Amino acid sequence: MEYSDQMDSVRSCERALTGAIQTPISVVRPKVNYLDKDLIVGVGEYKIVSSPLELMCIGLGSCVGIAIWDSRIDLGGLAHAMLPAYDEGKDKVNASKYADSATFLMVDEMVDMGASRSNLKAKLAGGAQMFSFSSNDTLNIGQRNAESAKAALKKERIPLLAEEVGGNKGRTIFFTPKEGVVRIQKGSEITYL
Amino acid sequence: MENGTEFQSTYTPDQIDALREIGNIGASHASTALTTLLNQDILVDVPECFICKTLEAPYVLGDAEQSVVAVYLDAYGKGKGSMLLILTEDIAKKMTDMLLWRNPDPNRAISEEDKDAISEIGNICGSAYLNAISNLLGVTMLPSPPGFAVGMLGAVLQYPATMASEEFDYLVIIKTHFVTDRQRFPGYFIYIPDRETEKLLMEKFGIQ
Repeated sequence: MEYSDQMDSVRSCERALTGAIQTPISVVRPKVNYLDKDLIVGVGEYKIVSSPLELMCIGLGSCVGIAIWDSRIDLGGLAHAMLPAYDEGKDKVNASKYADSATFLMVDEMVDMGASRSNLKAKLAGGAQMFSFSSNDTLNIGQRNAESAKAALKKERIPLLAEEVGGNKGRTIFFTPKEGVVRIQKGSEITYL
Repeated sequence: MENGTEFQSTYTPDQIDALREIGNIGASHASTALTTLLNQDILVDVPECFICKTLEAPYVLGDAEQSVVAVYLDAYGKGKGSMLLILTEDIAKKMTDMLLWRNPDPNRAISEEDKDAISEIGNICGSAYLNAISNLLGVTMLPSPPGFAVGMLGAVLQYPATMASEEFDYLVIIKTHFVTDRQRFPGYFIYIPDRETEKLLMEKFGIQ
């Protein structure tokens, strides 16, 4: 793990993590890199940082980016999930790659780091259908990812403030935990959630 | 090529050689098919063949944000699997212009006409690869109608990665160069075998 000077504020949160961690799903905890130097959330990962750091997901296609933050302590997490549901998946080890289990794990971890459940808010982006098939019987995995993420947020009682899902274009997203702003780049087009 | 990512491959060097051989056979088939279709010499070259982790696929192929064109095929029949062809926009437009007998115009955006033409080119190349594999194994593999995508490399690769990650940890990536008019254009074929076909392949090459 690499730290820079501006990350001091997060160290205290990190220490809080050394206590017992309770997980709703009995899985091997995924390897999550906090405070990676470049702050890029890879496919099937989630990362948690505090302001003024930003997180980003490059090239969200059918994957969804789930941004959850607590504005009172400026703590935010971003998950980059590729498959909809943990229960349907065959890989039971990397729970952070499913939209639902990634949400649960990230929320629990943020609570452990000092966030309060009632303060959490969420935004959602991604879930595009990149490939257009002439036959329409292929399952739209992007849409299923988005639906699963929304259901998971509802279960956690976290309000979903904004979303931009669907379409057939890939997105790159930047997440600023302080204001809870998600900047979406779709080609040359930039939108803010 | 950023091949520096370290991982523990389940494939031995012999197996990777075997996969490269399949890549070469497929490339020569694709080369013949394209040359016939476009009525111009197109050489398909395989400089590299490697295995990468499914989850890392969007990042090992280079700049995840570069805009690419991709054609996706599923294989049906006794041998199953999927095939993905990734091309840069340059060569995609160049090949469409050749196919449709138009004057080359590399600065235009990709139109509906281009999409159909590229799907067809991808279909033919992908089928050539599948044919190579099925001839080798003696099983039938029929390509599905092609799916088409244009967009960021990282986003495009998520679809096969998602499909594959439900069962497999690794993808076979065949790096190709399309050579025409003394210009080289990079491209990728990604072959995702299912478990049984993979076993057949390895048996064929005498590797267990």
